[in-house]
Amino acid sequence: MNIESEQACKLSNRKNINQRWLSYQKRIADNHYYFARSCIRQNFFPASETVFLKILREELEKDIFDDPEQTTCTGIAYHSGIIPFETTMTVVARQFSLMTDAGYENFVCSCVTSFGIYTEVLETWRQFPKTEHKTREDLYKATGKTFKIPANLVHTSDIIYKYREEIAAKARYSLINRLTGKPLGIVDHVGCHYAKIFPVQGIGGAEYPQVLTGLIDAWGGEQIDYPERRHCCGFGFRQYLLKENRGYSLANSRVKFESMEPFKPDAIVANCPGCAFFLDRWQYVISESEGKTYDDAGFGIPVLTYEELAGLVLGYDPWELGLQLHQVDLEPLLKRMGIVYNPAMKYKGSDGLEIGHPEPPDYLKTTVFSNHS
Amino acid sequence: MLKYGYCIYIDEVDNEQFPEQGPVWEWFRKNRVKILERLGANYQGEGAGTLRKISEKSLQDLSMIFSITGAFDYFNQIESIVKSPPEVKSD
Repeated sequence: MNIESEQACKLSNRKNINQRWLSYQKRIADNHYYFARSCIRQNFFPASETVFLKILREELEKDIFDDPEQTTCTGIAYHSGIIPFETTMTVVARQFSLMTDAGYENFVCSCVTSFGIYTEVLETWRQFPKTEHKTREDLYKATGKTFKIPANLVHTSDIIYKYREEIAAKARYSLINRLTGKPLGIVDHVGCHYAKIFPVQGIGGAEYPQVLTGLIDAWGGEQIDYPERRHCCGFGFRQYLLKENRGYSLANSRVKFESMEPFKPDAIVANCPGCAFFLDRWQYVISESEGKTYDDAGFGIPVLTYEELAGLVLGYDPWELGLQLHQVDLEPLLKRMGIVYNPAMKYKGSDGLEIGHPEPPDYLKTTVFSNHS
Repeated sequence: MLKYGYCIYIDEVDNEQFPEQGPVWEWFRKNRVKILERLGANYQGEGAGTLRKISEKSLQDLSMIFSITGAFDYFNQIESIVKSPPEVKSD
């Protein structure tokens, strides 16, 4: 238990506050971070980490080190059963050695899968010191490197949560429907590996995570509570990797969509890049294969990463946030939020010249042709 | 992982193997140099940034770790089982 939790528990003894709830609070370092990137986020949401770094450096004036030598944590391979845990632990040890060499002690990772990996490795070493010793030996033999255990390990969404009120104070837009004046209904989807493996590592634990609802509340939206709120998106690694088995993955997302549909969400926000990706793409697959969308207008439910949501609230250009790379069109949400943007810039390249546009799906509606006709 | 330093990399994820990626991904992959530049990425570039080229030294580190911790032996074991699956006896 960290210092904050111990202090909170002492307080609870006086005020008879629930002890278990207090154990689900975590310490989030307030500055000087070592940044570990996400393979999935870089590929499928390639602007999100840039936006995160911009928010930290320019809006919050924090120090964060973006290390070019950092690599995959091997998480997907480990969870797919194709590499031994010893390999994963030693790659993680190498990441920690890079942090140590750079003079940092607060490790921040962008991937929820990685966050689960790092917490699993640290907990393994805590319970089995001989395993940590063996990993240190393997790392030294392989690379000549040594490392210190991070003083603080958090996910990037934890930091946005920590500074949500500071972001709200700088906000240009809020999660309010400009047409009705009512809060936008937002579904929070927290990746399984954030707190379902080790609930004490998540703010609010596995059942009542606050890491995303805190953003929704602070930025003017309304949380949507629905029966399958804590259901997995279905990524699951090994069943997705085999093309023939992807129906398992799809079926999980479908369970969630059908459960949230009656509550008419305006958007979904996720802290795991894999979840954000699948909740976006499986809506496309369901619509094209069954002619079904989970909104009234036929566009689908927009899905955002928390960096994209923060960027919109702060008034960043939607196309610099990379929202044109989502399969479910984000423009209906931009209009509801009253965001001023230029639809003609959506599909431009870096030089501002036309580079064509994606083919429209057969069933799922998009604004491609309305913008470019 | 040992080629790029990433679990997955845009160059290897095509719509034929991953049709659920949809037409947006197809468009993105086709125009990835200009789109990633617009988004501030460092695609296949030196130094830090999104989708940067991982240095040879870092890739060598990964390869040595895989060797020392038994990952290559594990791969070979998987491959040999795939090529010659054990006989399944039925009652």
